[in-house]
Amino acid sequence: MLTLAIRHQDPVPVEAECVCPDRLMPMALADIERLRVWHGNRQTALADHFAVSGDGRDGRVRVEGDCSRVKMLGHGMLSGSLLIAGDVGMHAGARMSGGDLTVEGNAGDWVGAEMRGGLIRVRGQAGNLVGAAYRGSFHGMKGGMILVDGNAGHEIGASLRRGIIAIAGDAGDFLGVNAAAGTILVGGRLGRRPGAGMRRATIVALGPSPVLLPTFRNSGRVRPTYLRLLGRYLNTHGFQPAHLLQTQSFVRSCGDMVSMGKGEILSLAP
Amino acid sequence: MTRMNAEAVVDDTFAEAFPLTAARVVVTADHPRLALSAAQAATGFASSIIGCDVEAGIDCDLFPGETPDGRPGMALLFFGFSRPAVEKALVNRIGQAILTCPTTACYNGLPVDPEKALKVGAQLRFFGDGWQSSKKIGERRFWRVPVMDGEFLVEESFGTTKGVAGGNLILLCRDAGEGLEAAEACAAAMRDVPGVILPFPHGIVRAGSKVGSRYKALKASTNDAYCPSLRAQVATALPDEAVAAYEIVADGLDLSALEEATRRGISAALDNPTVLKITAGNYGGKLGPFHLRLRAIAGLSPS
Repeated sequence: MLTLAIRHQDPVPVEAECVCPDRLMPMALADIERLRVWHGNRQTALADHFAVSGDGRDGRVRVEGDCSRVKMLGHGMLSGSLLIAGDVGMHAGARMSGGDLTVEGNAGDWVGAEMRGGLIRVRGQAGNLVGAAYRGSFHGMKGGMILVDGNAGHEIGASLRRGIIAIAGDAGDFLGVNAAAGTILVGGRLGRRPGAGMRRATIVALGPSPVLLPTFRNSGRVRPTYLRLLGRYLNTHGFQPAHLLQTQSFVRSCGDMVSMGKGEILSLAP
Repeated sequence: MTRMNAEAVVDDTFAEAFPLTAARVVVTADHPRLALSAAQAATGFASSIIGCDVEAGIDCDLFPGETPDGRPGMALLFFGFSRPAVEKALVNRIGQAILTCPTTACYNGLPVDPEKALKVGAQLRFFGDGWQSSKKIGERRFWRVPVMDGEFLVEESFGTTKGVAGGNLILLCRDAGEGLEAAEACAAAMRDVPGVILPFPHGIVRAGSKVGSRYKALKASTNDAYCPSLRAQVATALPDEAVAAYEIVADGLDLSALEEATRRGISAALDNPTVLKITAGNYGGKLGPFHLRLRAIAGLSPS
């Protein structure tokens, strides 16, 4: 395993998109230390910010220390395992298409933005725009899975196209805004206007019943087999609220009728 | 019960088996009785590839912990001449017998090679008339088709493997009633092997066939050598004391499963003294590459 320990807590952010297991795997330690990263508006060496040790040939990388000012860790990663043993800054795992990324602390905004595949696990809280589309992009996340054990911010899964986002805690406003497909599951409370403009996606609310936009229509009580399947799958990943999917009935609300209207918000039946 | 002398009873011959394309389907439902009904309907009229689109049967019951959605279910096996033939049969049979049965869902039960996958849910989804939706969990894609009690969930692609069909045992019996009991015990023992099905009703065939007929239109006709009533008119294969012959036909996901089923079948048949001879059907080795030699499988030396 390759270990990167952060050297400083400079408030100027570092953009370290080179820290991906698949990119570091074939490289010698000296070459890894020379990799260029942005520190504010200056290009610097990775070794200026991280103490590098170990061997990354097994495809495993561990990042130690408070990296809340380090952006783009695991950006575009294809394979391997990246463990961040602390907090991480924005864009962690954005545009990744394989492998697994674990954040043991909190994550900043844009975790897994436009992700294509693989697994992201955030043990703490996540910021805004988890799995979302970058401004100007048509689609957000297109595959893989993001699990957040704590709360998450606003616009989670914005323009989601495919894949699964599961938040064990609360989620902020505009959850799944403009989502085209995929599934978002929230164990706690939903913010305002969930599913605004959504076309086909599924939002599952396992906490208190959310206040929905008037452009969603009640479609009655259901027990979708899909949720049983999803529940078992999430259980295998140790996602706590998943057991409710096996046993509970849901109220289905279809929408958003200002858009295609084939999406659904499933909230626990009273 | 007296165990028969295996040396004397087990014939020195072989069952001739041949490769077929196999698929495994997992059916689940809210109640085991619904899963069973769907499974029986989906595997009905699938006894012999000679006259049916596929050979099919129920492999085993599945407990809730063994199914993808945590509900009780059944595993079914389907055997056909080619992947397109199996695909067509699965689409028809799942569409008519499983989709229509309350609360059911249907999943693939074999590893999928993307280039050889059978597009089953991918075709059945159109029943949703535009209201179907797809969901991807891990690497597997599922289709949710709205139906009158909620939704029918079906996996998009099904895997196949090269199965082995045509395993068989023929029991030549001193008494028809006791012979049937022996055949039932034999069938039960063979059916217990994972990955093996007995495609005929009750697992037992009383109308074994030979290749060809005096009528040109028929590919197969009655196996007259084993018909007791024709003993005086044809070259019979029946011992003097035999009054009935029952055949147990088995298909397996692989040769080793079929061999194990054959071994257990022979062992069960030997428990009933009405069984005069245990033999098997073959075509002189011309039909299939898999030869299940009864005495070797039973641990006996050639006679």
